[in-house]
This record gives sequence, C-alpha cells and structure tokens, in this order.
Amino acid sequence: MKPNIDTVLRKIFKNYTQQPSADCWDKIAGKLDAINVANQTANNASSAGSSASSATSISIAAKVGIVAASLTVASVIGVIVWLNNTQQAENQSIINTPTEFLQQEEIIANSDTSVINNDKENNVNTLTDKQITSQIPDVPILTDNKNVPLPLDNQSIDTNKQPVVTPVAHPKEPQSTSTSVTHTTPTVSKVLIFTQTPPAEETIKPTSLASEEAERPAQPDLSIPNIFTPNGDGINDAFEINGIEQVPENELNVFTREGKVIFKSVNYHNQWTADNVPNGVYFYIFKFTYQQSTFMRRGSITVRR
Amino acid sequence: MLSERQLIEGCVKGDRNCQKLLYERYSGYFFGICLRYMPNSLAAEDVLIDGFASIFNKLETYEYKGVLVSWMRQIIINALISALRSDKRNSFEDLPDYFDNIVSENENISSEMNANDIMKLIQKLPVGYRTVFNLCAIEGYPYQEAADLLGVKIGTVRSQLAKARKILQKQLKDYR
Repeated sequence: MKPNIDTVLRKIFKNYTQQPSADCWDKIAGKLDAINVANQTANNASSAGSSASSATSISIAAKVGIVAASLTVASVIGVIVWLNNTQQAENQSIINTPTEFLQQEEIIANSDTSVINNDKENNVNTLTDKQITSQIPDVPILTDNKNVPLPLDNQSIDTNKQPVVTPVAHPKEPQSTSTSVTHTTPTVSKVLIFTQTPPAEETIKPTSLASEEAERPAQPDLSIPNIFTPNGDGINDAFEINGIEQVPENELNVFTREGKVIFKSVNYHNQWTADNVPNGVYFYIFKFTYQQSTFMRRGSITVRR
Repeated sequence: MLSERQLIEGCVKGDRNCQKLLYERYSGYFFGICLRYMPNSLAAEDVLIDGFASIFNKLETYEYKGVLVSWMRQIIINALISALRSDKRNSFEDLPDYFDNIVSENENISSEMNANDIMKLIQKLPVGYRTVFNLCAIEGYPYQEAADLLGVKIGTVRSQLAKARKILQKQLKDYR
C-alpha cells in the first residue's frame, strides 16, 4: 500500500530546519531599529502637537489676515478692470479715426513701392476690424491694376519649385517678377536650398553606409513570424522561420513567460507545432551560424488556435 | 537559560539580546517553512526577515494562549502569503495541464532522496500548486481558509492540490 503523500511529507517537514544566512539577524535588527526610530519621531510629533496648538491659533489669525488681504486685492483688481473697461470704451470711440488714417497711409506707402499684392489682402482678412473692412472698397481701387498679375506670378513660382530656379528673373514673365521683387527673392532662396541639399546627401550617404557594411558580417535573409496557428487547418500550423534552409546549423529554444523551456531543438527545421502548449505568448531564442559567424535572434511568438 | 516567558517579556521591552535569543531559537524552523513557500532561499530570507520583524512588533499582543511557536508560525505564514500575493506575476489560478508535464520532465529523481531534495521539488512547483499544497497538505488548512487567503475559489484550491499531489507522487514513487 502506498503511503499518503501528505502524511509522508508532513512527517518529513515536521522537524525540518534550515539555517538562514548569518546576516539575516542583522537585517532584522536593522529593521527593528528603523521601526523604533519611526515610532520615536511619531511620538515627538504628537508631543509637539500640544505646543503647536498655540501656533494654530496664530495661524488662524494669519489666515484671517490673508483672506482680508485677498479680498482687498480682489476688489482693487475689480476696480482697476472696471476703470480700464470704461477707458477702453472711450479710447475706442476716439482712436478709431487715427487707425483709419494709419491704414490709409500704409496703403499709400505700399503702392509707392509697387508691392501691393496678396499680402495686403491677407492683412485685411486677418484684421477683422469693422473699420478696416469698411475700407476694403478703397483698397482695390488703389491696387487693382497692379494686383491682377500677382496671383499668376505666385502660381508660376510655385510650379517652378520642382525645377531648378536661378535667382535671375523667370524668362516667361519678366515684368511680373520684377514688380514683385520682394516676393520672388525669398522663394527663390528657398528653392536654392532645396536643390542644393539632395546632391550633398547623395554624395555623403553611400560612402558611410558602405564603410559600415564592410565591418558587419553578412546576415542571412530570415523572416521569423510572431504568430502561428497550430489548429490543423494546414495554414501556419508550425513555427516556420522563412529562410531557415540557409542556416542548417541552428538552435531554437522556446520559453514561457515564466522562463520555462517548453521547446528545445538543435538543427531546427520548422517542426514545432506547439503540441500540448496552451494559447499564449512565448519567447524564443534562435541561434544560428552563417558564414562562420554566429548570430542570435530573440523575440516573442504567439500561439493561437 | 531563560524561560520562554522571560524571553518574551524581554523581547516586548525591546531588549535586543532577548530578541536575538528568540530569533536563534526559531529561525531554523521558520526558515524551513519559508523555503517551502518561496522559489529560492534569497526570497525565503526576505520573508523571514519581514516575518520576524512583525513578530517582534506584535509580540506584546501575544496573550500566552496556545503555543508560542504556532502563534509565530501564523505570522510567518501570513507574511509568506502576502509576499507571494504582492508579486503581481504570481497567479494562484489553476494552470493548464501541460505544466504538470514540464515539472516532471525536468527532474531526475533518485531513489535516495532527503528532505532537501524534496524541498527542491516543491520549490519547482508552479506557485499556485506550491502554495496550496503547503497550506492544505502540510499545514493542514481547510480548503475554504486557503481559498480566502489566496483570493481564489475553493474549486481552484481543490484542483491545484490534487495536481500538486499527483506531480509529487509521480516524482516520489521510489521514495519511502
């Protein structure tokens, strides 16, 4: 008759002793000291609490003071805000006319330099002041003749961004570019930067890559999946490493999340079908030798049926 | 030689020598218990340290009812369970059957095993099996109490206990 395993083990462990390492006691003593210190500080804090009661009354007075101060500050701020509002209302009614003059002066100045263009119209859009919008009828009158070619000109510059544009005026519309000198120069400089950088990269990059590749050993073209479905439908039923035939000298270990080895194979040839393994995520370490150098690849593999 | 009562009173007063004497008297036994629950001796020592610290803290609440050892063992076991439960990786839920195979495949069981070898086998058990087996089979806890301690259903405790027994029986069949 087989003895009950419980009673057997109970008997074994009834008087089982094992000495812990020698520094255990020191750690316990340290812990007790720490607790004592914590208790003492707690006691000190509680004794300090009684003396702090007078301090609390002081602090209440201080709080009242703070509240009063904050109230006065708030009222002062309110008064200031109110004053500002009334002032602003007055100012707006008075100053409106000077801004009109300023706008008109600007427009005139711009028309002198012959650079009245889309920018001016954009300004009108962004400045949503009623006074300014009311002036719009004036603006087209001033700029109508010179504004018309400018959108065309901008478009032509935009289309010219891909081909190389020299800072010299465009051959097709020399007049329009000359009228909007301030516009063309920034865009052209942008284009110049754009056209200069690619050849520089082309010349630098290949050499650096080539030197790096020369130091590294050649790697086989492997693709390791991260999931397979061993459900017997003939599709993805095994953990298949594509290109494994290039590395017949290999070793595969599959672990659970707890680190237990559930599959181990030397010279793995895509035969693992996760028998008796529940669905879940596992981890593999795949070591292989390729052209006299050894490599290791790690990753996770999901089993889903 | 101090009596147990003198020793306890000394410990309650905070006499470090008494505390050390008490520790030396019981540390071997409690470390043996800790080893059964934890996967390695380092983790077991950590729990032993925590457990003894709380023993000394709670010693003034000991009312000399029952044996001191079982009172202390209760604290140590509580410390063990809370240490196991505080590690979020530990699950006390039932495991798929294939884990049973892994455990039995890994070990070469000799016919001459001592308690240390069995200890290693127990430490290799999955955490749920190990804890349930220790609580119910060795310590003799009722299933419901073990289930409450671990925060699982009573059925989970039963099935894990059965599986743990099966694994250990398989490995100990040559052992008498």
